[in-house]
Amino acid sequence: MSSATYETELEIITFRDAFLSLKKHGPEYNKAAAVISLSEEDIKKLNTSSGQTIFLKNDQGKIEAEVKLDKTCYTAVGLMPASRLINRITTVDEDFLSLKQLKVTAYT
Amino acid sequence: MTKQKLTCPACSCFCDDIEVDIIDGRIKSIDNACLKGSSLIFRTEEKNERTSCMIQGLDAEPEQAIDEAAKILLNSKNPILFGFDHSTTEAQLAGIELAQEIGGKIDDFSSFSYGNIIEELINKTIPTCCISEMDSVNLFVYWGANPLHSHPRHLSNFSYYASSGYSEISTFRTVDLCTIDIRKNETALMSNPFYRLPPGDDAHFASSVCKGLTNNEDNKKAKDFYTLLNASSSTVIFVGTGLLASMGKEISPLREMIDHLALNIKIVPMVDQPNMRGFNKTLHGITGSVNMVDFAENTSKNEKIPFFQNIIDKKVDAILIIGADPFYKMPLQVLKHLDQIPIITVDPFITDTTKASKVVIGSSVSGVESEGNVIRMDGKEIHLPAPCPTNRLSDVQILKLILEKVKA
Repeated sequence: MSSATYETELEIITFRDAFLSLKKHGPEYNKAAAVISLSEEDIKKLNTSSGQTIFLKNDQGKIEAEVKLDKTCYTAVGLMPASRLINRITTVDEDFLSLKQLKVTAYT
Repeated sequence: MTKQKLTCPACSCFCDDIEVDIIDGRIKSIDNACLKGSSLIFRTEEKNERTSCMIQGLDAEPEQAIDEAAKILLNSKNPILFGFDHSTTEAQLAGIELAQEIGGKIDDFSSFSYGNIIEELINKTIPTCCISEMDSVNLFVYWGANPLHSHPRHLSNFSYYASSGYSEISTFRTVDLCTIDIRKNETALMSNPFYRLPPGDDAHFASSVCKGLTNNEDNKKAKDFYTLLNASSSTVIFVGTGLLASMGKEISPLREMIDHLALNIKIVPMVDQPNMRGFNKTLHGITGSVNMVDFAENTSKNEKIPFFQNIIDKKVDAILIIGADPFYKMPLQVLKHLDQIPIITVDPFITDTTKASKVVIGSSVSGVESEGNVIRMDGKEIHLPAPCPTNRLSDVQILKLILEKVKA
């Protein structure tokens, strides 16, 4: 049985997480870094739910992240902690204030 | 056992009320430090967290590593010195002298974060104040900042909870806490009011606040914030990376808002790297620029090209990194360009950057094992004592030794 692909465009905004920046290695770090907070509307668009995994891709590469519902999150915005994981798909813009420009396609 | 005072070097708050118990010259317990500070201080005691001196992954004596570093810099046509945000002001001065001597570039993380706003503060085009002048403040605004994660003791030591206007009983409270951010972060949960802005809307919000009440029918948040600012006799806005990332390099909407309102509003940057403001001030004092300086051809010019852009454009052939871990923060898109460039790193700890370096020089931890001066986020100079001296070389000693070798 083939499963349909659901996708939506997101702008990723990163934020500082003190606990993550203190524990820079190991499975705990990798798990905490791979969490994306999304609005209810985007979760519906992706036909997913909290705790499920989605993929984020752009021309730099692809990463996986666990979905977390954030009712205060704007639509078409994904909130992720700043980490090595998100650095894998971060693009550099002319001002090198690239995180505001970090656009990805999210899909399940 | 002796109890000693320590000034925490973990963030740009430089809390000076930390007490440590020292047995046989080593720290056994810490009082008053936050998670971030205690983590750094205890890390100095973890032998497996500290880096030794190395050349191409093999252990070396400090003298050998310093010799090798000097050779790399002397053989380079386009060297760049980067970091310095965790270094003391003395080390920053030595770094600038080294960059001048080898005709290289020098830069820090401020070139894509706080550089512009710190330059405006140094040039006095934006009003600011010291933390000691904040007692009469009755409105603290955190804009694009979440101090509970970036500067955990900021609220309790320097702003809202430290204010004489704060009371546990809200009726008696004469100070307000306001947060403006894209997300309802931990600081926002404690604030009243909290204004949530869409991505990239901060400049528009600042411009809307200027319009005041009459010409701003469609923006309730801007009208509310305008009313809040007008009701306050003294306001401090703590500017965080969220606001800077949203506005890009153009911070004029914030300056125009302050100029237009003509209220008693001061700006303090929530500088995320401990001594970034020190680097900007030191470099500005010598060259007139706060970052991105090129000393080629015996002159200094602000080349307006940040460190990462230099790497992508292949404009460097040797890098000296000190007091920073750019490999942890750099996008993979930039890291890909570093394969062929020899990197020298001076750091007390094993980091992503030391792992990628050709030469590593293990240093002491400033503020714990070696003393020096730094500039706090509000511009005040702070002395860091060294309660646990070590035989490891300090960052300033290492840079001076490299400088001597380069000059010889």
